[in-house]
Amino acid sequence: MSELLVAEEITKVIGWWKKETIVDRVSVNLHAGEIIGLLGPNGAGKTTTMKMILGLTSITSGKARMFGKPVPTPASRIGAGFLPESIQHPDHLSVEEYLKFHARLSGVSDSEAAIEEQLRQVEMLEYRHRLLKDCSKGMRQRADIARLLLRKARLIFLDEPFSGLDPCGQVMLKKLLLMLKEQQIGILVNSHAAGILADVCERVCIMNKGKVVISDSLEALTRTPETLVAAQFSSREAAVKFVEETRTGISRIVEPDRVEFNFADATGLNEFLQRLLSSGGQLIEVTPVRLTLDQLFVKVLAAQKSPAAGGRA
Amino acid sequence: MFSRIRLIMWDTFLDVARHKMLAVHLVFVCIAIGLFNLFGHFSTTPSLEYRMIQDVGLSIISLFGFLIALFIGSTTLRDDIQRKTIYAVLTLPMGRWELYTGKFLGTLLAAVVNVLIMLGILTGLLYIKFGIIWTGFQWVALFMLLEFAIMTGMVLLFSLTNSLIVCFSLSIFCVLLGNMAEHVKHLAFEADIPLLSFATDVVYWLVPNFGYFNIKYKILKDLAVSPSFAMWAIGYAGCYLFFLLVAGSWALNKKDL
Repeated sequence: MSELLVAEEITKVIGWWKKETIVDRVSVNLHAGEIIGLLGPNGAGKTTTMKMILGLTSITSGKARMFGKPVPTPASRIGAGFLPESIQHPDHLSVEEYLKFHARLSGVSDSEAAIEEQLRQVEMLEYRHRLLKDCSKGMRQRADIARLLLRKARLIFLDEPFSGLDPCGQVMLKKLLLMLKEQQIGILVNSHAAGILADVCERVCIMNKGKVVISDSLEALTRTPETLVAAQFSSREAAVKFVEETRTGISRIVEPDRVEFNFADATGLNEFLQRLLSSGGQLIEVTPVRLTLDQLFVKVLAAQKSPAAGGRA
Repeated sequence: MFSRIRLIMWDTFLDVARHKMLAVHLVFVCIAIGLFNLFGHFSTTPSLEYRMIQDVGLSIISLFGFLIALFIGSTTLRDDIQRKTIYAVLTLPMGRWELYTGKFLGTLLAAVVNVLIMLGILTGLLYIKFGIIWTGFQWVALFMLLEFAIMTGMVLLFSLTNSLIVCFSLSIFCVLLGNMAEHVKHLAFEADIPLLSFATDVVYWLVPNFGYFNIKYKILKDLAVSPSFAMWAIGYAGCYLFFLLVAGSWALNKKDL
């Protein structure tokens, strides 16, 4: 996979007299066809990080390159596109006029055909003549994604794209992001919507107070050492008897004859399974326990608040 | 590059024209028609009435011109930043100076068209009422256009400050000082205190001298405007506008958005 974005320890310090570091040595790498989620509370520095990479805000220290070109040169932005949070579109323009303006600004040749193609891709073709002010937020988001695709953006930055969208709009946008990913477009998305990010991102960076607290693949981040074992017994009595005889794990009877055991780690798991089978129990499933991204986020922030608990989740 | 600048200029002009200029022109037409009726009662002769209407009309155009320069100059870029539409443009592979130049030319064009329309309305009404074609129209138009182009460029530059109040204050301060530039120069010359002399000298060179564009007294007294004076004013305005453009492009380039 080709590397679209490399940011190495980029830092932003603001203030003339009283200096404040709002982004502190953040590093991000993004490849083609990859979606990375930036997750963090308000004021974590997610948007500023994006703005620094896009050259909208200066980088105090550190280096960034897009498509191998140093930021913030205009050449680094060829193929990059940005969808800011709650952008206020020009009300007097229709979807098509808006795209036409940007197509001309980007020097897109045969803009009519390109606009039609992109509007079809984002399922907005039938609304091409509708004024932007009459479009729903979801439709405007899609029009903006069409704007980015018009200029063949291969690296897209989305700032809180899910905020203010109804569930249908969220699903549609999610679908669109996955479609862009299939087209080998790299996407850096910054959002509070952890649940949605978990559905679309391969990697997640959790930021807090300007720093990347944790960054890894979603699979690695949500993994826990815990294991869940579900077993079935011939009767409720047999289940209760087995639970009473077993001290391993945390057990809870979820159905009259079905019990779930939660193991903090894999120690003694084999021995437990042998005992379960020999006692007549039937093994239904053994699954590693995973955190949801929301749970991980809360856990990471809680760990940040109490340094004694450790800085990393 | 030039096509992008042209596109931004035209978009800026349409944006300004759509929202702000029409209302100003309507108010101006109402005031101008009111003036015609009012001065008909006060003046003793038609020629006096003609002069009075010309004088007051030009003063009102000056006032409205300044107000619209202040209004469009201070809101054009600021609105784009607040609405975040500027991000969609600045993340294109283009320099910020291209955006600034487009905005600069667009607001200048809006200011110029605005003044031309107001002068056109005044000239038209004078013709309708007195049947006389205003011969000094082209000179008034030229000098007013230069003056308002500088004002608009200056306000646009100040609009890059973080506060609207600072932008307004600096603009009004510079326009007032610019109209008193000769006094400032005199003060610099007369001041015995070296620091004050230096400071007033700096102000004199930094602030545009709007005195070069004030030819109202010549027009009202039917005095001729020499082409060399006009060329000097055009050259001065051109240099000043170029300075404003460079300064604004530099400031936008340094600004964290």
